[in-house]
Amino acid sequence: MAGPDSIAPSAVVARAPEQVFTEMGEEIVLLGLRKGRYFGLDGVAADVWRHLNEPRRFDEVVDLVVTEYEVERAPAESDLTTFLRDLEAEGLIEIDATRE
Amino acid sequence: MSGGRARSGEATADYLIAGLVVRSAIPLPAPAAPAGATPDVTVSEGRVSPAAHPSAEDARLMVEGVESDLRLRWPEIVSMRIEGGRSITVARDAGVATAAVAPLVLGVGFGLLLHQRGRLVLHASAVALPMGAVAFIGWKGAGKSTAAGAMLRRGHPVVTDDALPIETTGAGAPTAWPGPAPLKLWPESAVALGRSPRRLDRLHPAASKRVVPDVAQAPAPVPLLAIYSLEVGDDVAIRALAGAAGLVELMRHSYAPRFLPAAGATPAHFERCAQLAKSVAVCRLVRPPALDRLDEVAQMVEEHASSLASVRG
Repeated sequence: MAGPDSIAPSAVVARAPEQVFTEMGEEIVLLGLRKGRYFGLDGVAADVWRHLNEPRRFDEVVDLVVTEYEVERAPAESDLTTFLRDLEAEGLIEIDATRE
Repeated sequence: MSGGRARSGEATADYLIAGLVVRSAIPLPAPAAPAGATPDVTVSEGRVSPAAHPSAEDARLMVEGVESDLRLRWPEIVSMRIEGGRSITVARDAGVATAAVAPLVLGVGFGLLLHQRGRLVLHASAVALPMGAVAFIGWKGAGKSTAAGAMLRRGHPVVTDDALPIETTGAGAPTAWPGPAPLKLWPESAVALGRSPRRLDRLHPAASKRVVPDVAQAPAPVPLLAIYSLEVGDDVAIRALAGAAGLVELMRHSYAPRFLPAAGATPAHFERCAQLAKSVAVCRLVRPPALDRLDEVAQMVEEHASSLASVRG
Protein backbone atom coordinates (compact mmCIF):
# COMPACT_ATOMS: atom_id res chain seq x y z
CA MET A 1 0.00 0.00 0.00
CA ALA A 2 2.80 2.43 0.89
CA GLY A 3 4.39 2.05 -2.56
CA PRO A 4 6.14 4.82 -4.47
CA ASP A 5 2.76 6.06 -5.79
CA SER A 6 1.00 6.17 -2.42
CA ILE A 7 -0.26 9.51 -1.15
CA ALA A 8 0.34 10.59 2.45
CA PRO A 9 -2.88 11.28 4.40
CA SER A 10 -1.69 14.84 5.05
CA ALA A 11 -0.73 15.55 1.41
CA VAL A 12 -2.70 18.42 -0.08
CA VAL A 13 -4.55 17.79 -3.33
CA ALA A 14 -5.47 20.80 -5.48
CA ARG A 15 -6.68 21.49 -9.01
CA ALA A 16 -3.81 22.60 -11.25
CA PRO A 17 -3.99 26.04 -12.86
CA GLU A 18 -3.48 24.59 -16.36
CA GLN A 19 -6.92 23.09 -16.84
CA VAL A 20 -10.46 24.17 -17.65
CA PHE A 21 -13.59 22.16 -17.01
CA THR A 22 -17.32 22.34 -17.44
CA GLU A 23 -20.35 20.50 -16.07
CA MET A 24 -22.30 18.63 -18.74
CA GLY A 25 -25.38 17.29 -16.99
CA GLU A 26 -24.14 14.81 -14.37
CA GLU A 27 -20.73 14.59 -16.00
CA ILE A 28 -17.68 16.80 -16.08
CA VAL A 29 -15.44 17.43 -19.08
CA LEU A 30 -11.88 18.51 -18.38
CA LEU A 31 -9.34 19.95 -20.78
CA GLY A 32 -5.68 19.71 -19.74
CA LEU A 33 -3.95 22.71 -21.28
CA ARG A 34 -0.44 21.32 -20.93
CA LYS A 35 -1.02 18.25 -23.11
CA GLY A 36 -4.12 19.42 -24.95
CA ARG A 37 -6.10 16.33 -23.95
CA TYR A 38 -9.64 16.17 -22.68
CA PHE A 39 -11.39 13.78 -20.31
CA GLY A 40 -14.91 12.94 -19.23
CA LEU A 41 -15.55 12.25 -15.55
CA ASP A 42 -18.71 10.73 -14.14
CA GLY A 43 -19.95 9.15 -10.90
CA VAL A 44 -17.44 9.16 -8.04
CA ALA A 45 -14.73 10.65 -10.24
CA ALA A 46 -16.92 13.69 -11.02
CA ASP A 47 -17.81 14.07 -7.32
CA VAL A 48 -14.14 13.98 -6.30
CA TRP A 49 -13.42 16.70 -8.84
CA ARG A 50 -16.27 18.82 -7.42
CA HIS A 51 -14.89 18.36 -3.90
CA LEU A 52 -11.55 19.71 -5.12
CA ASN A 53 -13.18 23.15 -5.49
CA GLU A 54 -10.68 23.99 -2.75
CA PRO A 55 -7.38 22.28 -1.86
CA ARG A 56 -8.02 19.34 0.47
CA ARG A 57 -5.90 16.89 2.44
CA PHE A 58 -5.89 13.41 0.92
CA ASP A 59 -7.45 11.85 4.05
CA GLU A 60 -10.26 14.41 3.82
CA VAL A 61 -10.98 13.39 0.21
CA VAL A 62 -11.05 9.72 1.30
CA ASP A 63 -13.45 10.61 4.18
CA LEU A 64 -15.82 12.36 1.79
CA VAL A 65 -15.98 9.37 -0.58
CA VAL A 66 -16.31 6.80 2.22
CA THR A 67 -19.17 8.75 3.81
CA GLU A 68 -20.99 9.62 0.60
CA TYR A 69 -20.79 6.18 -1.03
CA GLU A 70 -20.77 4.03 2.12
CA VAL A 71 -17.72 2.02 1.02
CA GLU A 72 -14.80 0.40 2.85
CA ARG A 73 -11.94 2.76 3.56
CA ALA A 74 -9.00 0.64 2.30
CA PRO A 75 -10.28 -0.03 -1.25
CA ALA A 76 -11.53 3.56 -1.52
CA GLU A 77 -8.09 4.85 -0.57
CA SER A 78 -6.45 2.56 -3.10
CA ASP A 79 -8.84 3.57 -5.94
CA LEU A 80 -8.48 7.25 -5.11
CA THR A 81 -4.69 6.97 -5.11
CA THR A 82 -4.74 5.53 -8.63
CA PHE A 83 -7.27 8.10 -9.84
CA LEU A 84 -5.49 11.12 -8.35
CA ARG A 85 -2.08 9.98 -9.58
CA ASP A 86 -3.59 9.67 -13.09
CA LEU A 87 -4.97 13.22 -12.88
CA GLU A 88 -1.58 14.40 -11.62
CA ALA A 89 0.23 12.70 -14.54
CA GLU A 90 -2.07 14.60 -16.92
CA GLY A 91 -1.26 17.89 -15.21
CA LEU A 92 -4.83 18.35 -14.00
CA ILE A 93 -4.09 18.37 -10.26
CA GLU A 94 -1.13 18.94 -7.96
CA ILE A 95 -0.38 16.72 -4.96
CA ASP A 96 1.79 18.43 -2.38
CA ALA A 97 3.08 16.14 0.36
CA THR A 98 5.08 18.91 2.03
CA ARG A 99 2.08 21.09 2.96
CA GLU A 100 0.13 20.66 6.14
CA MET B 1 2.85 42.45 -42.90
CA SER B 2 5.30 40.84 -45.29
CA GLY B 3 4.30 39.84 -48.78
CA GLY B 4 0.62 40.59 -48.21
CA ARG B 5 0.39 43.73 -50.32
CA ALA B 6 -1.78 43.60 -53.40
CA ARG B 7 0.21 44.18 -56.55
CA SER B 8 -0.41 47.59 -58.06
CA GLY B 9 -3.17 47.61 -60.62
CA GLU B 10 -4.57 44.30 -59.32
CA ALA B 11 -8.35 44.26 -59.53
CA THR B 12 -10.24 43.57 -56.31
CA ALA B 13 -13.88 42.92 -55.51
CA ASP B 14 -15.76 43.09 -52.21
CA TYR B 15 -17.66 40.04 -50.93
CA LEU B 16 -19.82 39.32 -47.91
CA ILE B 17 -18.59 36.15 -46.18
CA ALA B 18 -20.00 35.02 -42.79
CA GLY B 19 -21.06 38.61 -42.10
CA LEU B 20 -17.65 40.10 -42.96
CA VAL B 21 -16.76 42.43 -45.81
CA VAL B 22 -13.91 40.79 -47.70
CA ARG B 23 -11.81 42.67 -50.28
CA SER B 24 -10.29 40.02 -52.51
CA ALA B 25 -7.84 40.04 -55.38
CA ILE B 26 -9.05 36.50 -56.19
CA PRO B 27 -12.59 36.14 -57.54
CA LEU B 28 -14.55 34.15 -54.93
CA PRO B 29 -17.85 32.27 -55.32
CA ALA B 30 -19.57 34.44 -52.67
CA PRO B 31 -22.21 37.21 -52.65
CA ALA B 32 -21.06 40.79 -53.28
CA ALA B 33 -20.74 43.20 -50.34
CA PRO B 34 -22.72 46.46 -50.33
CA ALA B 35 -20.85 49.23 -52.18
CA GLY B 36 -18.64 51.51 -50.09
CA ALA B 37 -18.34 49.14 -47.11
CA THR B 38 -15.06 49.14 -45.18
CA PRO B 39 -13.32 45.76 -45.56
CA ASP B 40 -12.86 43.61 -42.44
CA VAL B 41 -10.63 41.12 -44.26
CA THR B 42 -8.24 41.35 -47.20
CA VAL B 43 -7.37 38.53 -49.59
CA SER B 44 -4.32 39.40 -51.68
CA GLU B 45 -1.81 37.68 -53.91
CA GLY B 46 1.81 37.81 -52.81
CA ARG B 47 4.81 35.86 -51.57
CA VAL B 48 4.30 33.22 -48.89
CA SER B 49 7.19 31.24 -47.48
CA PRO B 50 6.13 27.62 -48.12
CA ALA B 51 5.12 25.49 -45.14
CA ALA B 52 6.93 22.14 -45.03
CA HIS B 53 5.46 20.15 -42.10
CA PRO B 54 2.88 17.50 -43.08
CA SER B 55 -0.43 18.16 -41.29
CA ALA B 56 -2.12 15.62 -39.03
CA GLU B 57 -5.17 15.81 -41.29
CA ASP B 58 -3.55 15.00 -44.63
CA ALA B 59 0.13 14.15 -45.29
CA ARG B 60 -0.01 15.98 -48.62
CA LEU B 61 -1.04 19.23 -46.93
CA MET B 62 1.78 21.15 -45.23
CA VAL B 63 1.20 23.39 -42.22
CA GLU B 64 3.41 25.75 -40.19
CA GLY B 65 2.93 28.58 -37.75
CA VAL B 66 0.85 29.45 -34.71
CA GLU B 67 -2.87 29.93 -34.17
CA SER B 68 -2.76 33.63 -35.06
CA ASP B 69 -0.42 33.29 -38.06
CA LEU B 70 -0.70 30.09 -40.07
CA ARG B 71 0.84 29.03 -43.35
CA LEU B 72 -0.49 26.16 -45.44
CA ARG B 73 0.84 24.58 -48.60
CA TRP B 74 -0.83 22.26 -51.09
CA PRO B 75 2.23 21.17 -53.13
CA GLU B 76 2.16 22.21 -56.77
CA ILE B 77 -1.07 24.16 -56.23
CA VAL B 78 -0.89 27.02 -53.74
CA SER B 79 0.55 28.41 -50.50
CA MET B 80 -1.63 30.45 -48.18
CA ARG B 81 -0.91 32.60 -45.12
CA ILE B 82 -3.76 33.39 -42.72
CA GLU B 83 -3.00 36.16 -40.24
CA GLY B 84 -4.74 37.70 -37.26
CA GLY B 85 -8.25 37.08 -38.54
CA ARG B 86 -7.68 39.96 -40.97
CA SER B 87 -5.73 38.82 -44.00
CA ILE B 88 -5.17 35.89 -46.32
CA THR B 89 -2.19 35.99 -48.66
CA VAL B 90 -2.32 33.60 -51.59
CA ALA B 91 0.69 32.42 -53.62
CA ARG B 92 -0.38 30.31 -56.59
CA ASP B 93 2.08 27.92 -58.20
CA ALA B 94 2.93 28.50 -61.85
CA GLY B 95 0.09 27.56 -64.19
CA VAL B 96 -2.60 27.34 -61.47
CA ALA B 97 -5.66 29.49 -62.20
CA THR B 98 -7.37 31.69 -59.58
CA ALA B 99 -10.57 29.66 -60.09
CA ALA B 100 -8.68 26.52 -58.99
CA VAL B 101 -7.64 28.02 -55.65
CA ALA B 102 -10.86 29.94 -54.85
CA PRO B 103 -12.55 26.93 -53.14
CA LEU B 104 -9.49 26.45 -50.90
CA VAL B 105 -9.45 30.15 -49.96
CA LEU B 106 -13.15 30.18 -49.21
CA GLY B 107 -13.14 26.81 -47.41
CA VAL B 108 -9.90 26.22 -45.50
CA GLY B 109 -8.74 29.87 -45.63
CA PHE B 110 -11.93 31.29 -44.14
CA GLY B 111 -12.45 28.31 -41.82
CA LEU B 112 -9.15 29.19 -40.14
CA LEU B 113 -9.56 32.97 -40.39
CA LEU B 114 -12.95 32.84 -38.65
CA HIS B 115 -11.42 30.69 -35.91
CA GLN B 116 -8.78 33.42 -35.47
CA ARG B 117 -11.63 35.93 -35.08
CA GLY B 118 -13.13 33.95 -32.20
CA ARG B 119 -15.91 32.17 -34.04
CA LEU B 120 -16.48 28.53 -33.30
CA VAL B 121 -15.86 26.77 -36.63
CA LEU B 122 -16.85 23.13 -36.94
CA HIS B 123 -15.73 20.69 -39.60
CA ALA B 124 -19.30 20.31 -40.77
CA SER B 125 -21.79 20.65 -43.55
CA ALA B 126 -25.15 22.23 -42.74
CA VAL B 127 -28.55 22.78 -44.32
CA ALA B 128 -31.51 24.99 -43.42
CA LEU B 129 -34.83 23.32 -42.54
CA PRO B 130 -37.95 25.43 -41.98
CA MET B 131 -37.47 25.21 -38.19
CA GLY B 132 -33.71 25.81 -38.08
CA ALA B 133 -30.37 24.60 -39.35
CA VAL B 134 -28.97 21.11 -38.84
CA ALA B 135 -25.27 20.30 -39.16
CA PHE B 136 -23.43 17.08 -40.00
CA ILE B 137 -20.02 16.40 -38.44
CA GLY B 138 -17.76 13.39 -38.83
CA TRP B 139 -14.36 12.18 -39.92
CA LYS B 140 -13.14 12.61 -43.46
CA GLY B 141 -15.25 10.33 -45.66
CA ALA B 142 -18.06 9.95 -43.08
CA GLY B 143 -20.51 11.52 -45.52
CA LYS B 144 -21.01 15.13 -44.37
CA SER B 145 -21.37 16.60 -47.84
CA THR B 146 -23.34 13.57 -49.01
CA ALA B 147 -25.83 14.03 -46.15
CA ALA B 148 -26.14 17.73 -47.01
CA GLY B 149 -26.66 16.73 -50.65
CA ALA B 150 -29.45 14.34 -49.68
CA MET B 151 -31.16 17.14 -47.72
CA LEU B 152 -30.68 19.54 -50.64
CA ARG B 153 -32.40 17.03 -52.88
CA ARG B 154 -35.41 17.24 -50.57
CA GLY B 155 -35.51 21.01 -51.01
CA HIS B 156 -33.46 22.27 -48.05
CA PRO B 157 -30.90 24.94 -48.97
CA VAL B 158 -27.28 24.47 -48.01
CA VAL B 159 -25.86 26.70 -45.27
CA THR B 160 -22.26 25.59 -45.74
CA ASP B 161 -20.09 22.71 -46.84
CA ASP B 162 -16.97 21.65 -44.89
CA ALA B 163 -16.48 24.70 -42.63
CA LEU B 164 -19.38 25.86 -40.44
CA PRO B 165 -18.92 29.15 -38.56
CA ILE B 166 -21.14 29.38 -35.49
CA GLU B 167 -21.91 32.43 -33.39
CA THR B 168 -22.26 31.26 -29.78
CA THR B 169 -22.38 34.64 -28.04
CA GLY B 170 -25.54 36.52 -27.15
CA ALA B 171 -28.92 35.32 -25.99
CA GLY B 172 -30.98 32.66 -27.74
CA ALA B 173 -29.96 29.79 -29.98
CA PRO B 174 -26.50 29.74 -31.58
CA THR B 175 -26.57 30.77 -35.22
CA ALA B 176 -25.05 28.99 -38.20
CA TRP B 177 -23.48 31.39 -40.70
CA PRO B 178 -23.51 30.68 -44.41
CA GLY B 179 -20.07 29.52 -45.55
CA PRO B 180 -18.89 27.96 -48.79
CA ALA B 181 -21.98 26.40 -50.38
CA PRO B 182 -20.66 24.45 -53.37
CA LEU B 183 -20.87 20.80 -52.29
CA LYS B 184 -17.64 18.82 -52.48
CA LEU B 185 -18.57 15.21 -53.21
CA TRP B 186 -16.70 11.97 -53.83
CA PRO B 187 -17.56 10.67 -57.33
CA GLU B 188 -19.74 7.82 -55.96
CA SER B 189 -21.72 10.24 -53.78
CA ALA B 190 -22.26 12.51 -56.76
CA VAL B 191 -23.69 9.54 -58.66
CA ALA B 192 -25.95 8.59 -55.71
CA LEU B 193 -27.29 12.15 -55.70
CA GLY B 194 -28.00 12.12 -59.44
CA ARG B 195 -24.97 14.08 -60.63
CA SER B 196 -22.46 12.92 -63.22
CA PRO B 197 -18.89 13.26 -61.88
CA ARG B 198 -17.62 13.74 -65.43
CA ARG B 199 -19.59 16.96 -65.73
CA LEU B 200 -18.29 18.38 -62.43
CA ASP B 201 -14.97 20.18 -61.81
CA ARG B 202 -12.44 18.76 -59.39
CA LEU B 203 -12.01 20.59 -56.04
CA HIS B 204 -8.42 21.32 -57.07
CA PRO B 205 -6.23 19.74 -59.76
CA ALA B 206 -4.96 16.93 -57.46
CA ALA B 207 -8.33 16.13 -55.82
CA SER B 208 -10.77 13.38 -56.72
CA LYS B 209 -13.63 15.21 -54.97
CA ARG B 210 -15.94 17.05 -57.36
CA VAL B 211 -17.56 20.43 -56.83
CA VAL B 212 -21.32 20.84 -57.34
CA PRO B 213 -21.43 24.58 -57.97
CA ASP B 214 -25.11 25.35 -58.51
CA VAL B 215 -26.62 24.65 -55.09
CA ALA B 216 -29.35 26.66 -53.38
CA GLN B 217 -27.89 28.45 -50.34
CA ALA B 218 -29.53 29.92 -47.25
CA PRO B 219 -28.92 33.67 -47.64
CA ALA B 220 -28.66 34.64 -43.96
CA PRO B 221 -27.59 33.16 -40.60
CA VAL B 222 -29.96 30.46 -39.36
CA PRO B 223 -30.56 29.42 -35.73
CA LEU B 224 -28.82 26.07 -35.20
CA LEU B 225 -31.09 23.31 -33.93
CA ALA B 226 -29.06 20.09 -33.97
CA ILE B 227 -25.67 18.61 -34.81
CA TYR B 228 -25.49 15.03 -36.09
CA SER B 229 -22.24 13.10 -35.84
CA LEU B 230 -22.15 10.63 -38.73
CA GLU B 231 -21.17 7.03 -38.23
CA VAL B 232 -21.43 4.04 -40.52
CA GLY B 233 -23.44 1.15 -39.06
CA ASP B 234 -26.00 -1.52 -39.87
CA ASP B 235 -29.16 0.53 -39.95
CA VAL B 236 -30.50 4.07 -40.00
CA ALA B 237 -30.78 5.46 -36.45
CA ILE B 238 -30.46 8.64 -34.40
CA ARG B 239 -29.61 8.75 -30.70
CA ALA B 240 -28.72 11.64 -28.41
CA LEU B 241 -25.13 12.14 -27.23
CA ALA B 242 -25.86 13.46 -23.76
CA GLY B 243 -23.47 14.91 -21.21
CA ALA B 244 -19.73 14.71 -21.82
CA ALA B 245 -20.12 12.77 -25.09
CA GLY B 246 -21.72 15.71 -26.92
CA LEU B 247 -19.02 18.17 -25.93
CA VAL B 248 -16.23 15.72 -26.75
CA GLU B 249 -17.76 15.23 -30.20
CA LEU B 250 -17.69 19.00 -30.85
CA MET B 251 -14.06 19.24 -29.67
CA ARG B 252 -13.13 16.36 -31.98
CA HIS B 253 -14.74 17.90 -35.02
CA SER B 254 -13.63 21.49 -34.59
CA TYR B 255 -12.11 22.96 -37.71
CA ALA B 256 -8.83 24.65 -36.75
CA PRO B 257 -7.37 21.79 -34.62
CA ARG B 258 -7.39 19.56 -37.73
CA PHE B 259 -4.61 21.76 -39.07
CA LEU B 260 -3.07 22.94 -35.79
CA PRO B 261 -3.86 20.64 -32.82
CA ALA B 262 -2.84 23.36 -30.32
CA ALA B 263 -5.77 25.49 -31.52
CA GLY B 264 -8.13 23.01 -29.85
CA ALA B 265 -6.41 23.17 -26.47
CA THR B 266 -7.26 26.74 -25.46
CA PRO B 267 -9.74 27.74 -22.73
CA ALA B 268 -11.55 30.03 -25.20
CA HIS B 269 -12.17 27.24 -27.70
CA PHE B 270 -13.22 24.83 -24.93
CA GLU B 271 -15.69 27.38 -23.54
CA ARG B 272 -17.23 27.98 -26.97
CA CYS B 273 -17.64 24.23 -27.57
CA ALA B 274 -19.15 23.76 -24.08
CA GLN B 275 -21.62 26.59 -24.63
CA LEU B 276 -22.67 25.10 -27.96
CA ALA B 277 -23.00 21.57 -26.53
CA LYS B 278 -25.33 22.96 -23.85
CA SER B 279 -27.54 24.88 -26.26
CA VAL B 280 -28.12 22.52 -29.21
CA ALA B 281 -28.92 18.80 -29.50
CA VAL B 282 -25.81 16.75 -30.31
CA CYS B 283 -26.72 13.33 -31.71
CA ARG B 284 -25.22 10.26 -33.32
CA LEU B 285 -26.60 9.56 -36.80
CA VAL B 286 -25.93 6.01 -37.94
CA ARG B 287 -26.30 5.10 -41.59
CA PRO B 288 -25.45 2.00 -43.64
CA PRO B 289 -22.34 2.16 -45.83
CA ALA B 290 -24.30 1.77 -49.08
CA LEU B 291 -25.59 5.03 -50.55
CA ASP B 292 -29.02 3.72 -51.61
CA ARG B 293 -30.79 4.75 -48.38
CA LEU B 294 -29.77 8.41 -48.36
CA ASP B 295 -33.34 9.62 -48.79
CA GLU B 296 -34.42 7.56 -45.78
CA VAL B 297 -31.59 9.15 -43.75
CA ALA B 298 -32.70 12.62 -44.86
CA GLN B 299 -36.32 11.90 -43.91
CA MET B 300 -35.31 10.68 -40.47
CA VAL B 301 -33.30 13.89 -39.92
CA GLU B 302 -36.34 15.98 -40.95
CA GLU B 303 -38.59 14.14 -38.48
CA HIS B 304 -36.03 14.30 -35.68
CA ALA B 305 -35.39 18.01 -36.19
CA SER B 306 -39.14 18.68 -36.23
CA SER B 307 -39.57 16.89 -32.91
CA LEU B 308 -36.71 18.92 -31.40
CA ALA B 309 -38.24 22.16 -32.66
CA SER B 310 -41.64 21.31 -31.18
CA VAL B 311 -40.04 20.47 -27.79
CA ARG B 312 -38.15 23.76 -27.85
CA GLY B 313 -41.42 25.45 -28.84
